[in-house]
Amino acid sequence: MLPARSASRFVQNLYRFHSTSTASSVSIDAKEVEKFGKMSAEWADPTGPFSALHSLNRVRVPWIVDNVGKGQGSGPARVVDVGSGGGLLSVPLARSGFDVTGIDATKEAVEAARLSLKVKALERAGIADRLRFEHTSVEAFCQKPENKAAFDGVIASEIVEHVADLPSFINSVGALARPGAPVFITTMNRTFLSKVAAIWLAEDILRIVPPGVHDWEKFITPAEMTSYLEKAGCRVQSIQGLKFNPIVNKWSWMESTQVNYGILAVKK
Amino acid sequence: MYRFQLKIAGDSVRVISSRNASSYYDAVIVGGGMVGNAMACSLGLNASFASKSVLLLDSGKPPSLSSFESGAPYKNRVVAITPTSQDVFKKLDIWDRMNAHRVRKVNRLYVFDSCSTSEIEFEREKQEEVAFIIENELIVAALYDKLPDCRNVEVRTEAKVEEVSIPNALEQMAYVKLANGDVIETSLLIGADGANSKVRRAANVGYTTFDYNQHGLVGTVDIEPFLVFAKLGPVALLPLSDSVSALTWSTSPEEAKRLKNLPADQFVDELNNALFSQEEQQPLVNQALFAFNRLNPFRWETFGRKPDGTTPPHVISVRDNRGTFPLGFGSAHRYIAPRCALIGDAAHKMHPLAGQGVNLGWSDVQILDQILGDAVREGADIGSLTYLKEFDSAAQKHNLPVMVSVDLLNRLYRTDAPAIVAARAFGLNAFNSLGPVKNFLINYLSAHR
Repeated sequence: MLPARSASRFVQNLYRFHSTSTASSVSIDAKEVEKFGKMSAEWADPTGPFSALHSLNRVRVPWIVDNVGKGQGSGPARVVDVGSGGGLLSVPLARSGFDVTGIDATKEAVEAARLSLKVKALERAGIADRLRFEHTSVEAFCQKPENKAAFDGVIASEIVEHVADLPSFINSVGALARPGAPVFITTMNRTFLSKVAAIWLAEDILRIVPPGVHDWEKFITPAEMTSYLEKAGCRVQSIQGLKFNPIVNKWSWMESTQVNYGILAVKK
Repeated sequence: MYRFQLKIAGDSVRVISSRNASSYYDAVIVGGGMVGNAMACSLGLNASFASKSVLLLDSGKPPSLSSFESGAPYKNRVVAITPTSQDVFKKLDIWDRMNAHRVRKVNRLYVFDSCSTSEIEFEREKQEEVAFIIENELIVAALYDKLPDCRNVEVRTEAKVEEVSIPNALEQMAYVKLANGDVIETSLLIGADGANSKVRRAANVGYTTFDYNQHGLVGTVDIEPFLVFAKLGPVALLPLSDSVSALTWSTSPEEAKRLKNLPADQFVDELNNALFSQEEQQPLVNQALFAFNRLNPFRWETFGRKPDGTTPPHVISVRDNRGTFPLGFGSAHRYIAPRCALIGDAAHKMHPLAGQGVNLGWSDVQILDQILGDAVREGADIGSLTYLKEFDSAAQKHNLPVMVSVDLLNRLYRTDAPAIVAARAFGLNAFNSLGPVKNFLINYLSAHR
C-alpha cells in the first residue's frame, strides 16, 4: 500500500508550501478537517493510528459487497465513499470489483489517497482505473447533475460523527443514491458506555485511536440517524451493533448498538 | 566461439522483445505437481476468486489421464492419501475421475521391524479406510484434467522459470521470468515447486535441512495376493491391486544404485531375502520382548500368534520401472514472505516413511485457499502479510507435529544397534498395545476434517 515514509515527507512539504484549504460547505467542521489533515501520512499503515479502521474492513467490506446489487449498465456497480480519508475503505471496495469515487473535505487526506493509487499493485491489477478521489464536500458533490441519484451504493463509514450539520450531510448522502440503492452508515452511539469505551478506553488508556479524534457530544443515536435517513428519502432496513476486540484488533457484528453500530438503509 | 556469440545475440533479442510480453495475474502458482495443480483447482473453484486471475506454471508436458486406463503399465511413484485428502479431492470434484482409474483402498497398515518381531498394526473400524494408494502421476493428471472447467485459471505447460523476484514490501510486485523471456507480475506468488524450490530461495526464508544419507528405491512388483499396506523395516509395500504392489525401499545411496541396476530376477531374490531374512533378527531382544508381552496387562494375545495376513508376502517379479531418489528432511522457518506463500515440498519435506508427505501439502492448499478467499471477500491485497500470516501459523501448527514424529520414527528404524532395537521393539509393542495413543496418531493422520 502507501509507502508511509515518502507519504509523510510529501505531506510535510504540503504543509510547508500550501495552507490547509478546505471545500466550503455547511456540513464541514473546520477543526475536524484540520485534525485529519495532520494525520494524513498515517492513513495507509495497517499498524498505525488507523489500525482499527483497517481491521474494520474485514467486517464492513463483505457487508457492503453482499448488499450492493449489480450496476445499472454493463459495467461494474458504482459506489461513492463519503469521507474517504486516505482511501482505506475505497481501495478495498475497488478491489472487490466496484467502480469507486472517494470524496473527502480534507485536502491532505485526498492527496494521500491519490498518492496511494500510484502503487504498482493497484495499477497492475487495473484497480486504479476504477477508483478516483475528489476533494469536495458531499453537498457540493451531490449538486452536480451527473452525481444526483447516480450511485448503486453510498457509504458513509466512520464519518458522520465528524460533520457539523448532520441533517444536511445525510440529505446529500441520500441524494446520491439511485432509487433502490443501499446506503451504509457506521458510527458511534451517544451512550454512557460509548463514552467509556470510545473516549476513555480507546483514546486515553488503550490509545487505539489518537486522543481527541472523537468528540462524544457529536455521536449520534440510531434513532436520530433513522429519522435523518427517513427525511432524506431512505428506509432503514437493519441496525446492527459492532464489537471491537482491541487485543486481537478484530471487529464482529453483535446485537447491542450501545457503542458502535452500522445502519443499512435503502433509497426509496 | 563464433557460434556462441551468435547464440548470445539471439538471446538478447528475445529479452528485448520480452518487455512487451510482461503480463499480470492476481496469483501465480509455480509448479504443476500434485500440490500446485491442487492449488490451481482449489482457487479455480473458490467462488470468491471467480473475478481474479490465476496462472499455473508447469515445467513439464501436459499430463494425460489416458495413460492410466486399466492394463497400462503402473508408474513407480505412489502416495498413500489419507481420508482428509480424499475429502479435498471430493471437494475438487476429481475423486470420481481418479476412482474411475486406479485407486486402491487400504484399511490395514502394518509396520514390521526387520530386527525384531515387534509390530504396529494400524486398523480402523470396518468400512473405515486408513489410506488410498494412488500413483502420483494419476493425481497430477486428474487435477490437470479438471483445470479447463476453471475459467479464472490459465495454465502454461513447458514453462521454465529462470528468475523469481519477491519484494520486501507490498509496494512492489512479485514476478517470475521465464526461459522464453516472458515476465509475469503478480500480487501473490505461490511456490509449489518442490524441495529445491526457486521461489523459496527468492523469498529468502530460513530453511532447516538435513540429508538422511539414504536413497529410496521405488518400483512395481507382482506379489502373492496380499491386501495390506506393509512396512518391513526399510521396505514398504503399498498395494495397487490384489497382486500388484508399489515398492519403496530405503537404503544407502550406493546400495540403492546397486539394487536399481540388478537384473530383474536377482533383484526379486534380494527383495524376498530382505522380506524374510532372519539375519537381522536379534534373539536377545526377541526373548525380552516375549517376556514383556506375557506381562503386559494391555495385551491379551500372546506373542507369536499374528493375525492372518501379517506375514510378509512373497514377491514374484518386478516390473521394468525401478528408480531412486535421495531422502531428506527440510522445513522452511516461515512459509511466507510479502507477496509469497510456499506450499507442499517447497515448504516442508519429510521422510516418505508412510507416503504421508504430500498429504501435508494438500492441507496447505486447503488452508491457503480458505484464507485467500477471506482476503478477497474483505477487499484486501492477497499478497498482504496480514492474511498470509494466518496461513503460516495454521499450516505450521498442522505440519510440524507430523514431521517431527515421522523423523523420530525413521531414526528409530534406521539403526540395528541392540539397545535401540530393544527400545524401539518395546516402544512399538507398547505403542501397539496403547490404544489411546495409537488412535490419536491414526486419527490425526487419517481423520476426516
